[in-house]
Amino acid sequence: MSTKEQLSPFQASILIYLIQSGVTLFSLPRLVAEAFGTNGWIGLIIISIIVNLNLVLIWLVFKLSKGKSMFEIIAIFPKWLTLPFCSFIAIIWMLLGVFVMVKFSMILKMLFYQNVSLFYFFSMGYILTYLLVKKDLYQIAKATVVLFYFTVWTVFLLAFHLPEFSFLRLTPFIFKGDTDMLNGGMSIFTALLGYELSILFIHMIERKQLKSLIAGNSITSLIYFGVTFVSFGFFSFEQLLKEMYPVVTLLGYISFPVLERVENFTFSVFGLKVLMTTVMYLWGAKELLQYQFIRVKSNLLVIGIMIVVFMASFIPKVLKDVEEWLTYITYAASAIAFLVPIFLLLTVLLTKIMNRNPANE
Amino acid sequence: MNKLFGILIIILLTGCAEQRIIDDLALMNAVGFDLTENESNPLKYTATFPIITKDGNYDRKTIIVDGKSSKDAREKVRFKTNFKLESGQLRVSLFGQKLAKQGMLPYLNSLVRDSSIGTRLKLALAEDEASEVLLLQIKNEGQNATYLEQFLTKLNRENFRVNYNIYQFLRDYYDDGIDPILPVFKVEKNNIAFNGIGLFHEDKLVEILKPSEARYLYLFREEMQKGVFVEQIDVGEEGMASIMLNYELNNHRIEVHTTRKKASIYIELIGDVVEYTGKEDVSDPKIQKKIEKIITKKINQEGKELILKLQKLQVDPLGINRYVRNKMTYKEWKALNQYQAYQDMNINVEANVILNSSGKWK
Repeated sequence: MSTKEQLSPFQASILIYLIQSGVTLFSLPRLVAEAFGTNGWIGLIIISIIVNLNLVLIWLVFKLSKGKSMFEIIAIFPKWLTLPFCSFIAIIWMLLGVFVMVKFSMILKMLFYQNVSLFYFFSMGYILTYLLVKKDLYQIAKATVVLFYFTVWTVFLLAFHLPEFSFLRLTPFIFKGDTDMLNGGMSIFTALLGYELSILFIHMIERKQLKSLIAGNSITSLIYFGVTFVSFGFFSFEQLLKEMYPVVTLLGYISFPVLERVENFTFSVFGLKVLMTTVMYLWGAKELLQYQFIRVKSNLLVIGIMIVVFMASFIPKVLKDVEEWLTYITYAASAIAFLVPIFLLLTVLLTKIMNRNPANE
Repeated sequence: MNKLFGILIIILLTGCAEQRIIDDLALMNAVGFDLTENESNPLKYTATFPIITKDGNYDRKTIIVDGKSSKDAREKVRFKTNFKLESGQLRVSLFGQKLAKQGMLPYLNSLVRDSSIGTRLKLALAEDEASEVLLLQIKNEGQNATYLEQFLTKLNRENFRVNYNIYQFLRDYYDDGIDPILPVFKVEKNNIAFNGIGLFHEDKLVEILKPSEARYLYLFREEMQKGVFVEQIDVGEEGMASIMLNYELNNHRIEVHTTRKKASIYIELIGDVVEYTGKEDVSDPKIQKKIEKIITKKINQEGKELILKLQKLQVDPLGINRYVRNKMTYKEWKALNQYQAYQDMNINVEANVILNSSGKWK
């Protein structure tokens, strides 16, 4: 499925940003505090650098293969060999996309709409998702830019918290208190997940491929960093550990002269970011399945995926289940994020060596 | 066709959400917590909400129940009204003195856990019983909740930084170098009056400072920016004179010495004289210098007295311990007996008062 139209670097960056920023953002400052302890925001920089390294890996695949897409690279393998891998990745991505949406809906229900059935949230979410996923990437990217401008202003809401911000609360201690660097760091890393989908569309980016990918990750990291830093000075450390969703509390603290409790609105706006995460993961799954089952009509495939996804949304009954599912799925997705580019890199190098040998003879 | 279908579903689905008709809701705007003598139901819970009477007047209804916990009591309130109870519009939560002395955390926990209650819910203490303040009917005054909320906002705007909402209280409670404070209200001649500041040791009320004592507290806390200083000062031969300054807090910093045995609070006030009852000419720079010195000395002295009192009570509303903490390593800080060290500290006030003008009269 290649399109003639290409993504501009700007579109690519924004796409990466919107896939990355998802539902983990709401609990991120607490996760950071749990993982790294006092002044944990510094740890976020390290995680961001790891992501950038992974992006370089993806770019290397692209560079060494001279601009081939992932599917062109794996075309040397027979279909029956790639089938289990592709299906596995597709299932993981599909579930990830679904549970991100489910988690957001459940939080939305718990916090603001206790009496609304989840069925309505899912229906609304998936109708929008369907409308986007059935288009090709260029169309999705165009929609992304619009959604970006819809949501990016929320960053400036952080300025409302400056009067309550205090450097004193940051404390001079670095990474002290109960820390859990490995598990905690992993869960923070999953908050940045989403960039790995770029392996599917890096060849569609017009120019400055690496730069636009890293720029996308930088936007996300910068926003995450800002939110986390402000949280560490806004909440006291122990309080931050008690806050289930510190970012929701941050949003709730903003007051406008006429409006009371605007967080209901701002939180719903965040739904658009979650929507894009779901859309892109489902799109990734669709692309993979389309490669395997080339004869199935694309539209039929999308509808099939949507039905499966809708059913899957009702598997977990409570938020705790969703979180447990998400933990495992994101671990798998993180492994995919590293292993797929490495595997592709090896394939590219192998094909090069094999091609060179006959030429030498 | 496809698009039309999608749009239709999206529009129609919004109608499926639960409807809430505002006339049928009891939008609680204040709750009060008190202790009872009753052992099985130790909590006295007061809820008040606005209603429209049958003849179209705006009124309020206050319900008092006894319960085991705040949510248990809230369930009981449900049986005492024909409206649907909602806590989303809760603005003020009032705590009786007796209850505050036993510790507020359990009640705060159930308030902060409830997602329908906002983070800016204001907290206050009642000098006696919270129910008494909420029950008081002041003629033509309307909702006590709105009255209290406005009162608290006003205090905050006038730089009596006592505007404590639930986020701020919990923040200072969980921060290990500062203790929270709360404003105190009392019923006085059929009116609700502000009557000082409650000092907390962790989540337990220790003492209530009278407004006259508390004004230095505002001055030494960092959030203060400007205010009013009214004082009787001793001007030598002529005896006492009354002076009033409108001042701006120009500089405020707390320094802890490296030995951690000594701390100083530096403040610099620049003020305009609004009232002076002494016989001397306040516009004379010499006299101004003299007054500056007298006021500076007074602030240093009385400030010191206040701080000694705070140290004795083991409450740290100024957050001195935060500065101590920021001078230590993590290990040292955790090993330190914070309140003991705080009590043993020598804390001085180093004020500097500068008169800017004598007002528009010589």
